[in-house]
Parts: sequence; C-alpha cells; structure tokens
Amino acid sequence: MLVNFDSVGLVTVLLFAAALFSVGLYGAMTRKAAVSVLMSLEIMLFAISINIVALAQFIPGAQMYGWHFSLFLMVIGAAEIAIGLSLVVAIYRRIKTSDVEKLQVLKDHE
Amino acid sequence: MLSMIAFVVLALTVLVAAIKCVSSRNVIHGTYWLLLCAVGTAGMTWFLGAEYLAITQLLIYAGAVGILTMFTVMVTHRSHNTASREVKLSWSVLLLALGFFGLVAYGVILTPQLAHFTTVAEPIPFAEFGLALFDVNGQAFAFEVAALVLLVALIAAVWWTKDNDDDKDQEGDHAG
Repeated sequence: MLVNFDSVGLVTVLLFAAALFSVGLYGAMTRKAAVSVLMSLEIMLFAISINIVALAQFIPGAQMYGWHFSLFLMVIGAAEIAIGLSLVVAIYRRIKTSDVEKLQVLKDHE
Repeated sequence: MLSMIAFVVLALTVLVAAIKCVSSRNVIHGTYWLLLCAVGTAGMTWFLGAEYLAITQLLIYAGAVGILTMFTVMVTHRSHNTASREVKLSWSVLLLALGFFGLVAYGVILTPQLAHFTTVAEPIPFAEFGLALFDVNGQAFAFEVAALVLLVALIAAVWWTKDNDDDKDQEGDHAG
C-alpha cells in the first residue's frame, strides 16, 4: 500500500505538496489583482519548500543539501516577493491600477 | 497514527487557507489567509523534523513577506471597491490545475521506490548546519551569492518604488 495510514511517508507529503501547488497555480492564472497573483506564487513557493524539506528529511544522506537548498529557496522567494511588490507599487503609481488585465502598455501602443 | 492525525490537521489547515486565499473576493482577507497558510507551512516543516527551517520560514514568510504584502495592498487598493472584486470560477483553469495534480500524483504513485521512504531523519544540530553554511569548502560561496542576490533585489525594489521624476512628467504635475 503506497499511502500508509499508520505513519506519514514521503508519498503522502509529495501528494499534499502537489495539491498545494495546484491551488497556487489556479490562483496565479485566474486572479486579476497583481497582489493576488503574487500571493498565489507564494503559495506555489510554499509547496516547493515543503517538497524539498520532505525529500531532504526522508531520503538518507540528502538532509544537509536539502536544508541548504531550502534556505536558498527562501532567499530567492523573499527577493522575488520584494521585486514583485515594488513593481506592483510602481505600476500603480504610473497607471493607477494594479489589475493585470489592464496592463496593456505594450499592446497596440508605440 | 498520532503523526498521521497531526499531518492531516496541518495539511487541511494549509490547503483550506490556500483555497480561501485564492478565492477570497477581498484582497486584504486573502492576505490574512496567506498568513495562515505560511504559518501552516512552517508547522508542516516543523512536523517533518526541520525545526530551524520552520523558524526561518515563520520569520521570513509569515513575518516579513506578510507585512510587505499587507503594506502593498494598503498602498494600491485605496477604497473598499478596488480591494474587493468579483471572483469567477474558471473551469478551464480548474481543469488545468486538477490535470497538473493528477499528472504529478500519477507519477508519484507509479514510482514504487518512493514508498520505501517512511522514516524521517533526526534533525541536524544547529552548529553543524551553521558550520557547513559558512565553510569555504561547503556552501560559503552559494551563501555569499544568495546574499548578493537579496541585496540587488532590495536595491532594485527601493529604486522602483522611489518617487522619480519620470512619473511626475507623465502625470503632468511638476512639484518644482
């Protein structure tokens, strides 16, 4: 039996992380507010983080590398959200909206 | 059995918070749900035996990123009308997300080797982890590069959000 109900195995955690990533994917593709899109990307990052930690903890010998990789992922995530949110503020200052469907400056424009 | 119950409670908390975050009409409410999702993710990391990473996650995601997101929502959504908007269920994207989950789940379940990994390793002592992080033969170079990336990102963020003259020219109101 792949999913053991007595103890949590790697398969269970990977399935949970895939479900969380799918929720983030749905949000990133449907939301209109730029901040909400960024929040959905954060949810996808959470899923990846859980995935890496699970692989590091369950696979023998991978722990140290997994922890380091997870730490660097957090750094990249923090940099991504800082850049993203500053872009949202800059765009809002310029065109007074943060609706991603209204960002059509490059479309039919000189 | 007890660990399975703890895992299910944590997993449900994170998943419900994530679903509420992507489906809430009000962006501010979405931010609160994201905070719960971040705390749940940190809890899940703790549950998996990586206490140090859990605390770091709590500080970075639930603390710094949460506050930053809330400030951005406050700056960019002035009235309640713009902060709250209708959310329609998009069946095609839902199908895509479910398809993605199905594909990954299919791959995970069809790999029998993964089922052998059922025991979590003991957490690394903090001193050992820190020494490896700053060791020249270990991860010191990657650590410095990560620090540089973060510094460049923060400088770029400050530069983009500062009140520069180009924006004022475009708006047509010269401050002087």
